[in-house]
Amino acid sequence: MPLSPVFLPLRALSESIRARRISPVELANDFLDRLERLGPRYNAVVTLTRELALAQAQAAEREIAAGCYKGPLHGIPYGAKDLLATAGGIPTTWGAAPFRNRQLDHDATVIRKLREAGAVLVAKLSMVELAGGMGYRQPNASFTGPGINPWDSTRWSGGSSSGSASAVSAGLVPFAIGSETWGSILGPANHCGVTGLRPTFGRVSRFGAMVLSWSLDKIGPLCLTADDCGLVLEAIAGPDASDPSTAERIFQYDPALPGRRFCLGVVAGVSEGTDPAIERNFATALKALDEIADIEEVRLPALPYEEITRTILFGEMASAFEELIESGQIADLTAPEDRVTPYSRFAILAKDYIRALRLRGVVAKEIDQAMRGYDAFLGPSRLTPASRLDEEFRSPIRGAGKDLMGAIGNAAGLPAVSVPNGFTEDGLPTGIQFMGRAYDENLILAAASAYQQATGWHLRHPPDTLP
Amino acid sequence: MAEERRILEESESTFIRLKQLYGDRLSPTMQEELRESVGAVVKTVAALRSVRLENGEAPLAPFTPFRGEE
Repeated sequence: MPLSPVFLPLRALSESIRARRISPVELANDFLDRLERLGPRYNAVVTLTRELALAQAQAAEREIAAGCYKGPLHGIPYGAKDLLATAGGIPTTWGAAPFRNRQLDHDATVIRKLREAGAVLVAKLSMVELAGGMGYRQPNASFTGPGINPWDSTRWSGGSSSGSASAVSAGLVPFAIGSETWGSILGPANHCGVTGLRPTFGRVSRFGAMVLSWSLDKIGPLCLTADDCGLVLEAIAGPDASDPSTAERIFQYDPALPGRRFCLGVVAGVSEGTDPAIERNFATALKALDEIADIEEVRLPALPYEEITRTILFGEMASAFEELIESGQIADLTAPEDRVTPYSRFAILAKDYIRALRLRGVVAKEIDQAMRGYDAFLGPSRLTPASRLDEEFRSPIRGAGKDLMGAIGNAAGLPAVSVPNGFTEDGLPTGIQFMGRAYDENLILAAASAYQQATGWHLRHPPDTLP
Repeated sequence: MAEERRILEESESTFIRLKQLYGDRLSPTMQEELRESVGAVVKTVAALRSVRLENGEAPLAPFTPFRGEE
């Protein structure tokens, strides 16, 4: 019996394609069928890109047969969060009703880079409207409906990269692209039991991506493993003249271990106030990491970390969506709170926004100093497991709940990878994050890979989705 | 105590300004929600203002002069 391609890590999948044991066209058809059949169950898909996918898969098949193999993503299907621009009549909706039929005339740089790497775009995936920047408090905040969790259909998939996480979790795509301003990759990765990488700010071009916050938005992959995230990041990273924030540094993925024990830090009190299952699984993960790492408690200076990140986000969001808010178009958004809360962002004064940027400089220096000598800081990926679809969730963005690592990591633009680290009594996945110094993606991915090899939580998949 | 009163006063005056601008679009329930949301924003920035910064502490936002292709 042939091996199913569903839930195969990218390295295994690409080796099968390179050796021509799997046909890219058959692979694309397999995942298109799964997206069509199972996607609606999770509200994961906005647009199925069947025609484009089959054309790209046929091209990959021809190229590989001709001996022109482009690399590990050649012929691999993927899905993209629907805030990435796509040309060719494929809508780009930003998850928001006012833009549900909007078509753009260009591809985002990430879409172009993946096309050049030979990857096959099979779907635009659902997201929280406008990437959650309007202040949503509950899951029903997208015109495609709330993201439904493949582990439990009464629970939320997380946001704002809802469809990217649920599609990977349910085996609807081998990998997906998401984005994070504050928590939008790590949160859904936690809730859906997948691996999510938030790259260093500037690693990946945002050209063609919806702007929520110019100085906080990052684009990154959601995959089955940390190793997969490294492979995808190498394909999408790099300088881009169309996005002046991109760094000149070239990212080359190196999965080799450092050849010594890892040195990891845990910020004092980082799991305080989290759900008991999150706290317990984090403690268990630290014990497992003890085998491969020296772990030390770290203390950080007292600063209003969350308030700094929140003020930057509010100030930039108010400008990015000024026209939408002023015009009253927000009245057409799905979540009732998204029709009101944006007006309050106009309360941010210029002097307060600039103060937040000055304090961000202090945070960046303090945290870099604190991280010297450590490969990564560890923390729970999220405060809670997936909430119920009909309840409000805790969110540090609106001041309910605490997310020290998220506030620091996003304000300072640091990379972090979230990997599954266990389950709650109700069978919901939880995650642990490895946050590194700027541009240390290889180190955090190596540590996360070592943890995954030692534990195997990433090998579990929602029972209803098994092929 | 004085700080709390200052936050309340600033919240209320900001809310009144926003209500003047956008109140006609919002029902009484929505206006109450806006009042709460404004309160949260003012509390957030008050936490920033409580941190002392040196004059030379610059924003972490590099400005680069632009020169287009010749």
